[in-house]
Amino acid sequence: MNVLAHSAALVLAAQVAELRRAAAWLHAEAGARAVPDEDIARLDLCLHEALANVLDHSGLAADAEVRLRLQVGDGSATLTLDDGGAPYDLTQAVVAARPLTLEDTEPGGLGVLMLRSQADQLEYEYIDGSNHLHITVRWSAA
Amino acid sequence: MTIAYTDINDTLRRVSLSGRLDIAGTDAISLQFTALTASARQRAVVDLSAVDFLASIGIRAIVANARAMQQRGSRMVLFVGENGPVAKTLSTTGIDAVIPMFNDLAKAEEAAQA
Repeated sequence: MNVLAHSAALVLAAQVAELRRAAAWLHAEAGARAVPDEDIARLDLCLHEALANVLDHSGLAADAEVRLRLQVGDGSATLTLDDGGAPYDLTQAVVAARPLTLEDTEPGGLGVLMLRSQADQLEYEYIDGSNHLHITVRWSAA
Repeated sequence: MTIAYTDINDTLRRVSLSGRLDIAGTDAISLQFTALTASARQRAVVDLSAVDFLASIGIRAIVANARAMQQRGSRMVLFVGENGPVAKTLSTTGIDAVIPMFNDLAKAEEAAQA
């Protein structure tokens, strides 16, 4: 009998080229654990924006590691990103104001806004020199 | 990520994007997207109905081109069709308030030429 573990992990290099591998891993592992498609899509968007922030703000070298962990429970999934870069608390980052005109549409801060709107819960910790961002989505039983 | 276009008439171009508009996808189409909207004779409908992932970098590319068109006295509108996730992303970020967004292609084309 093949029993699938409730969690899966992946180690990435801190490079843009790794983002699609991370997305493919997320879809495969979350899909195998029966996470609903629309919730995988939410996690996918959160993962992309969070990783983009790590690459932009952490100061990590391209060969540094970023660790991903997916934990799936009853009606929820939590994706955790661990990196050893500069402390950066996305949960406290300034979000872009809703634009009123094209001229005042700011290019920055959209990713944080999207992450917060897609996730049901965001938690951040800085422990022993590492950032830990926990992104949770929840769904109702069918 | 693919990009294609159709000139609907002398004053309207439809630019259709499909696939994953993430960092890699946006990089792949960015120059052509800018060129196609820059050379649009006057107005453009950007068709996002087949985009299956829209990241913030993709939104920034859309906004930059819409702003450039506006500065030339032109106009961009967005068509999302039944693409709920993309519509939600554009709504959540408030982009639909500054670049008109439509589910109906005929209405999008009409609004672009208004």
